[in-house]
Amino acid sequence: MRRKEGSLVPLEVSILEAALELRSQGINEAHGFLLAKHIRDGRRARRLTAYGTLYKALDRLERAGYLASRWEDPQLAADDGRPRRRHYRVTMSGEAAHADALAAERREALPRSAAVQPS
Amino acid sequence: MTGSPAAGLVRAWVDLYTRGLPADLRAARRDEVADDLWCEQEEATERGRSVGVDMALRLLFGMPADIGWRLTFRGTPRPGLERSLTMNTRTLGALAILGGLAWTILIVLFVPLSHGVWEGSIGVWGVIGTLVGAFAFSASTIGLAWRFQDHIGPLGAIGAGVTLVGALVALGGPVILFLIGLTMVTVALARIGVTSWLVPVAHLATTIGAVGLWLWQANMDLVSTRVLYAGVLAPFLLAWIAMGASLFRGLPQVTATSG
Repeated sequence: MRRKEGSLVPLEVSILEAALELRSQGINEAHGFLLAKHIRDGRRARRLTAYGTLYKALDRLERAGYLASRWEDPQLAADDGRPRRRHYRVTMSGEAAHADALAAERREALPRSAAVQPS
Repeated sequence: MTGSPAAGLVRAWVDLYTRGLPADLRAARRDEVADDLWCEQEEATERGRSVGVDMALRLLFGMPADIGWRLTFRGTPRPGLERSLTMNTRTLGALAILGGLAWTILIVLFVPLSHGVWEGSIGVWGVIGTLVGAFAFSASTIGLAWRFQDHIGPLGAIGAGVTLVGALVALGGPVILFLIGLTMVTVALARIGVTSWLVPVAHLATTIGAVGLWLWQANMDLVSTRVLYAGVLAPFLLAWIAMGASLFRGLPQVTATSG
């Protein structure tokens, strides 16, 4: 899918939104699965976002500076008996990009809703 | 660790499309997906449901994005390649020379002595030379494939396996499978600039010649056939000695990139 430089595709908006919602619940950092789960539950979807789609989007958001990531202490993963985990958090510019995307969505939605309003 | 067949497929796919990437980037993607699989399995266990189909669909639908992501790294420099060229490369080079010399001596003796090289009083040395050569070629080839596993791709990995099996077969039978394996590995190594392209070309020439002799069912009791056989093997042996010398000195300049 082609997109304008710097613009966000719906999944990227959803990821930022999920990370911000989780943060508002006290979870400042989230790993890939948690974000995918939050998106799925929010949409009442049956399945999680595909691996490739999810991690490509996370990679792009991080490169754009909208997300920052860190790897957890390997000892934590070892203690839990699971693979090591990468945590993402939304940056200031990520918050701004999310707000811009929502504003753009609203602007697009307004003329449409106005068009169907009875005069 | 998630051991379901679907999770295995996902891991295999990640392993495939991340080949050729710098080791840290590759490990990061592998670990991230592994954690996702682990969480998915945990959640499914809590809910008391199977997750195989969901994993397979997540894999399938994400493949275009994986390929797109992987293509963004085409042509990027791979610092891991230069870093991996240390003293062990010299050891591999020394093994290549050892294998080349051992089998060259055997082939030179094979022309006048025929199968007598492996019989009688001299036979002990013939057998030792054969074993040393097979071991040295296999160790050098598999060592190189292992060292550059992030770069050589499926061709080199499969070639290393074929080489190993071929070396065992060559101890008591034809060397064709061994040559095919070595050719595959050397093509993969040439693609990433570890060896000159002359090496796989020499291997290919020898392999074609050896297959030709095998199909022709050449009579090795004739001196002329043995001379021909030695001539067929010569490019292969010379290529290994030259490659070994090159590796022993350091490494040829890294020139090519592979996807």
